[in-house]
Amino acid sequence: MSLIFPYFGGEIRPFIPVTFEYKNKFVAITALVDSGSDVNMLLPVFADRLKIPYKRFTGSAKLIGGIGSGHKCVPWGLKCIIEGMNDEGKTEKCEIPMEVHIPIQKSSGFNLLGTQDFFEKFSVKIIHPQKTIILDKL
Amino acid sequence: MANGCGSLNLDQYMGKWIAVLNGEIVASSDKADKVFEKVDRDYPNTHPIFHRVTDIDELWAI
Repeated sequence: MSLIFPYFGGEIRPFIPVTFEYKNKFVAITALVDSGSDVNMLLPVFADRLKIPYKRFTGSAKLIGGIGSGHKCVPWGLKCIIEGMNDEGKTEKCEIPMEVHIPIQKSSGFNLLGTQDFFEKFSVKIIHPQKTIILDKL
Repeated sequence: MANGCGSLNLDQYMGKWIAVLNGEIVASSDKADKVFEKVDRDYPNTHPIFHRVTDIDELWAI
């Protein structure tokens, strides 16, 4: 069953709404569907809102490259809920475990849905002229 | 949970953070924290969608 999303708000980029859950706390955000990103990125403002203790992470932060010098990020496992309209016009929900990377320092970029856990689990079709994204769970 | 919002008039919100609840923009600010404050105060126990509106003068090659 396909989930069909217009670009959020009629944006110029393919943003879709997703909800993350951590310990029964929820935050609904938009994330950029980005096949060029190896990982999923959650901005620290949202990690703070979910009260994720990423600043106390004892492992080693990973340097995630991008524009500029990149960001040191902490990986964290969350539940990701993707809810959209299916091709019969009914609301449908997918829940998947997802590793997100949280920049340790403030970041002004976007939340990203990348290849790990997102493109691995969905067939993704972006029809840019129609500002539409179609997801099929694999 | 987050529902898709296909069309909003975002022109006046370029570069700002917004909160969208049931297809309506209920808070906006240059700072995400200010948007959270307004949502927590005026719309408790809801899950609006938080979004930073693209500034079309700010192009990215990610």
